[in-house]
Amino acid sequence: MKGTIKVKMALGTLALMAFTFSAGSGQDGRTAGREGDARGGPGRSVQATRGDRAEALSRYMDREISKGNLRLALTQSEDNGTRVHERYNVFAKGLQVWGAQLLRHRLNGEVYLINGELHSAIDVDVTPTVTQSQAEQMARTGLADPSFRLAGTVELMIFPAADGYHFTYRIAYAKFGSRIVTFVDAKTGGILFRFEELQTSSAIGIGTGYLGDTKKMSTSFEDNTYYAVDLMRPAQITTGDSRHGNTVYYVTDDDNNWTSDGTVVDGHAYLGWTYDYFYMVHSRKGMDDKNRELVLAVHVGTNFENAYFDSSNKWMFFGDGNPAENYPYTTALDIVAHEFTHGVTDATSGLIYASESGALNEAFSDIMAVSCEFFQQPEGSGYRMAEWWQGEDIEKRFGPGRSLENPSMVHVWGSTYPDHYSRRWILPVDSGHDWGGVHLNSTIPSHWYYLLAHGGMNRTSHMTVDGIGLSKAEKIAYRAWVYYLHPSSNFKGARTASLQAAADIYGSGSTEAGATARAWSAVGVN
Amino acid sequence: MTKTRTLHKYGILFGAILALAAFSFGADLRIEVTVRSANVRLNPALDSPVVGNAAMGLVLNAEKKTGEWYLVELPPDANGVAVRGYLHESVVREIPAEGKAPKAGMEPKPASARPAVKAAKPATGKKAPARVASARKKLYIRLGAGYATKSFDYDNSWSFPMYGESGSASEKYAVDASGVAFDVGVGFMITPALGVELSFTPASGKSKGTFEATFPHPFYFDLPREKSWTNNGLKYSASEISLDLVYAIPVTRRIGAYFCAGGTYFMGVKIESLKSVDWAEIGYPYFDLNVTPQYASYSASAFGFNAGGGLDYRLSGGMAVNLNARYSSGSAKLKIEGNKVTVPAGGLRATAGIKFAF
Repeated sequence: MKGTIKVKMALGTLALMAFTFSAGSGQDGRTAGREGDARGGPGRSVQATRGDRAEALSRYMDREISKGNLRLALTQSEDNGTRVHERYNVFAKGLQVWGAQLLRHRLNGEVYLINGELHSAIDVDVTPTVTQSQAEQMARTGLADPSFRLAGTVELMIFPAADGYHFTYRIAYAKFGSRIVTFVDAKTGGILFRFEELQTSSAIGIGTGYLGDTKKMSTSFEDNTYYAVDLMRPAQITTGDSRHGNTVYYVTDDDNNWTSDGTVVDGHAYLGWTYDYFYMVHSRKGMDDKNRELVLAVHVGTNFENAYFDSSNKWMFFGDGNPAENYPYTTALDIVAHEFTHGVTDATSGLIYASESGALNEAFSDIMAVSCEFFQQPEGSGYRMAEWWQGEDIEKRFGPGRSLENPSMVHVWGSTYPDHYSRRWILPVDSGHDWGGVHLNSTIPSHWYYLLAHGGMNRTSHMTVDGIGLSKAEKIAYRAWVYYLHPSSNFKGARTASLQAAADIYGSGSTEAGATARAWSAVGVN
Repeated sequence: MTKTRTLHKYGILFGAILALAAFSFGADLRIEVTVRSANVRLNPALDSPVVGNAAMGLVLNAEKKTGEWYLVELPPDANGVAVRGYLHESVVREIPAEGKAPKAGMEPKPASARPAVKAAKPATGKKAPARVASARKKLYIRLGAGYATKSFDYDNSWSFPMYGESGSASEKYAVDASGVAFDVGVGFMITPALGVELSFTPASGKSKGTFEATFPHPFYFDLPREKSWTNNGLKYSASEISLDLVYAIPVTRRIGAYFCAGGTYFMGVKIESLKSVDWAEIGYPYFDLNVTPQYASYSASAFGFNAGGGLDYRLSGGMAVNLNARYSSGSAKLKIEGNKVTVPAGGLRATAGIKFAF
């Protein structure tokens, strides 16, 4: 076709393994591959065409073949055998000389060229001083990511270094996205050479979401398989499958056409969209503003009616919900964004998940989630549309999980969500009471946000607010939350923080600051 | 056009017969002009138009005598044209052939007694039937240089798959092939009025391309990156070989006009066009990307037609100054990376140069 795809090589790399991973760290330094003469070895480069020189070399090769020092690795035949290329790996003392090959080329049976590397007089003592396990330990050093595991078998080889031949162990450690090969000197135990063996490329695939819509999937291709690992965003995004158990597995596809699990497609795409929202609107580089790797797991538990952010490893988990009532939780963009936002809170204000600080924690997750929805989806009521509700897309009977616009339309525990401070739930702080009603009372601040952005009348105080628009409101809310809130902030503290944020951006006497104050008053926070 | 052609066909026939006749008649009737400038008329009548003049002392072989008039053929002029017509007996005297006495009534009368009739130019459109004279120059070579105007637009568009959607490219070209033109022709006049000419005209020019391309976004549907660029240095060339019928009309003794029309073979209409667009991502958030357009030359040949005309101003020695104008037209169907693109060829050109007649 017309366009040639040239995509920049990925920042990360892949390996084929299924295991639980702990907090990802950055990349280890990538050393050069085999291009040029990376090893600077003692072998001599040869090239001999027809004539005495080639004949002499060919005879030498035959002698070395019979001694076992040259072993045929591959024969390449062209034109029905008219032209034949023989590739020989080089051995000495029964061990392969790494990276060395001597090639002999024939035309109609006659040798017309010999090229490659000539290694002779390899005088190396092949009794190891270092044990294999010592060498393995040595090869592990410098690989900071704890998820590296020994890969493949350990081989004894001859390594041609600049200062001569070394008797070495060839050891590979791999994790998802990387396979580092290290040569450890079998005599001295030192690391002679190390390089990245894995090659990955990014690919864009197409996936079908749970509701049947089509989304683009940013994936990685390696070892003939596509992985739900996004390497094209500055923060790597991995979508895994808990398979209802305790281990999170990589999700793969053969042809980058992701049609078998819509929950994976939704989660993977929506987390990317959430990253984009925070980057484009708030210039934030991911959860920790340092592009930390993002991991989300789907099919958590069995009919698990929830989703959560795990602050120990910073991963996000999504259940499938009650199939009678719910779609799986990644079906809703605002739920994916809600959990991601918990990660941002965790990295900034650290709002304690109890009482009013907990309600603020929950509120800002709803606030950012709905703002993300308005950024990514078309306005309107319906699945995959943006409206002032939280979690509506997982409801089989379409309706809000919570409403920012009219909190009391949603019934809960014999009552409704409050739209005013006077209607707040006063509950003990324990697991049976939503930790003091962190979800229940979150609609007070999130309704404040609705009034500030959209405008309207509070149904309890009957106060009206002229909305300042979503793009201004989200800037004020983000700024207050990320810079001014602290772990034990309460609603009053949130009011002060948002007024400070509004003053920072628009000035203390501005319309925006005034609306911010009025909206808090409308929800009863003075 | 056809009527005069038929006339000329008959003229050729008539001339051939007369030639034979003159040949068989031999030199029986020799006459000599006895006035300073005798009128040679189209028909044996005083009111008939004058088609030529005979100077005093000119000796002619009369083919026959009709009443008081001798039918003669004047010797061919500088252009090889031999005028035929009638001389009145009063302006000539017969020269007896060996041993023959002049016929009665043929005596020359004094010049002063004859009314001096001014030699009139032959009326345009009425010509003496020309006879193929062995001395007439039939072959010519024409060389000219001048100016050609040709400009046209063409466009092309195509799409390509990318990131699960389609990218698109649209190309608009403004080709300007105006400029210095050369024209070389070789012709053969079958009759003084009708001939064939083979000519060759190279043409080349510049093409200005304006391009727009859209590249789907890796993460989102319907959010393409748009790029546009221009390339003003693309090349265009086309050479023509034309085979024409030429119709010549003498205007004055020195000036001749001609029309020509025929078929044109545009050999290798060649244009430089967009071949492909290489792209590479610059990085997140992928609102922009690097684009490297690749260009290539595409060519095709075509048949068309041409029509034109010109003027020759005859100098001596078979040379003439030539002005030539021609319009040619054709369209070449090129295949550009699987797309069929039709590109016009030809144009209007005017050249001035030299014609050599042999």
